[in-house]
Amino acid sequence: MTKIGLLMNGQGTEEVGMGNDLYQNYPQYRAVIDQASACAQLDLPAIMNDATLLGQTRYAQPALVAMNVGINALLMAADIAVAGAIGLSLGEYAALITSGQLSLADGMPLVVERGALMQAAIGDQAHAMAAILKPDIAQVKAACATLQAQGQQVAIANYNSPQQIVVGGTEAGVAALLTALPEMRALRLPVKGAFHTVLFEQAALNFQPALDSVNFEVGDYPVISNTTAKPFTPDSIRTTLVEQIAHPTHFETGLRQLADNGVTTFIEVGPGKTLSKFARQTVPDLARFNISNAAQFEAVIASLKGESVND
Amino acid sequence: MTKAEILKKVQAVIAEQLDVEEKQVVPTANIREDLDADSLDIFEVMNQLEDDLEVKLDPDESIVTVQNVVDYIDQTMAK
Repeated sequence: MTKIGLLMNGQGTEEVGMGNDLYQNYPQYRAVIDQASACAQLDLPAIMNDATLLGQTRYAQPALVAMNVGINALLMAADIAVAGAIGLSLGEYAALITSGQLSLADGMPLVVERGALMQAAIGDQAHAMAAILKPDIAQVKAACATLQAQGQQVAIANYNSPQQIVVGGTEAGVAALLTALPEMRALRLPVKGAFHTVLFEQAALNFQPALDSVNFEVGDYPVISNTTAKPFTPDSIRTTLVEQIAHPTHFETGLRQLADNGVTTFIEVGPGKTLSKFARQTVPDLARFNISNAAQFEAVIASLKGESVND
Repeated sequence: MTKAEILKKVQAVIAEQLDVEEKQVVPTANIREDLDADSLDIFEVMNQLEDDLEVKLDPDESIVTVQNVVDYIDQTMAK
């Protein structure tokens, strides 16, 4: 039996024009985007079509969450049952909303606040991140510890798959790590900030009050946390979401947990296919789909309903 | 290794790394635009080819198509 796990992507996947054909073709999708715009007090369709706005953390974050929730509304309208979900970083908010643990009305202002705080935390500082392929994690950790003892700020920020981790820190810290381990296969990433590192500790603390006023419910299905690698629970969710901002993500462990829970098929929603790649590298035997436009949505529905797909 | 053998290997690695059908990985395909790869995807492809072919690759921005990858590996192996 097919059991669907949703993969909700995070910042960095946004692209100009994202979701335009979905917005034009599907009233259910349009309704979510328009409702999300009202909740966020932002013109999200305009943001999704403006490179300058979309390039800012505070606008990119609500735009991505709205799109992911909108695609989920299409899946629900097509009677696709979901057994579990995981989001990467920001994507956790989309997953919490679609699972019913967080309302769109509460979730959108929360995401706006989170984006604004994270953008403010970056300020004029030089942050850097680098992906490392086929990493020797013990070696990277030891090198980071040595550099931290010398006052540098660099640490593992994302455990994405067995094939890939991401390190983050100050520009100087990341540069020092790459110099210390010259044989390492590292590629610097075009990111704004070293998310999920100690550099965001103050932003995380500042985010706490916004969470205190929000109500969380028991959801329709589990959402595996990046921070704890366990399902979110209503009693611990606020603490976990605060910690998430400045602690490493464990996406690989979360994927394995969904697979252990019986998920057979992943659907990645939103632009790009980064999370499907991590799924392939972590649990290669599971089926994978992506939905970022109308054609992909129709193909996924046809495939899941057992119809032939012509491409 | 002949160029045909290199092409076959490159097609297999790109298809696997980018999760696309091997038949899409034609020599003229633009890796970024036609196969929807970003810089990190291309870096992963090159690293996998390094491991599989036991060759050190240090590609630059001139690598655009599948055929460019094949030619570059062919030249590197000939050195």
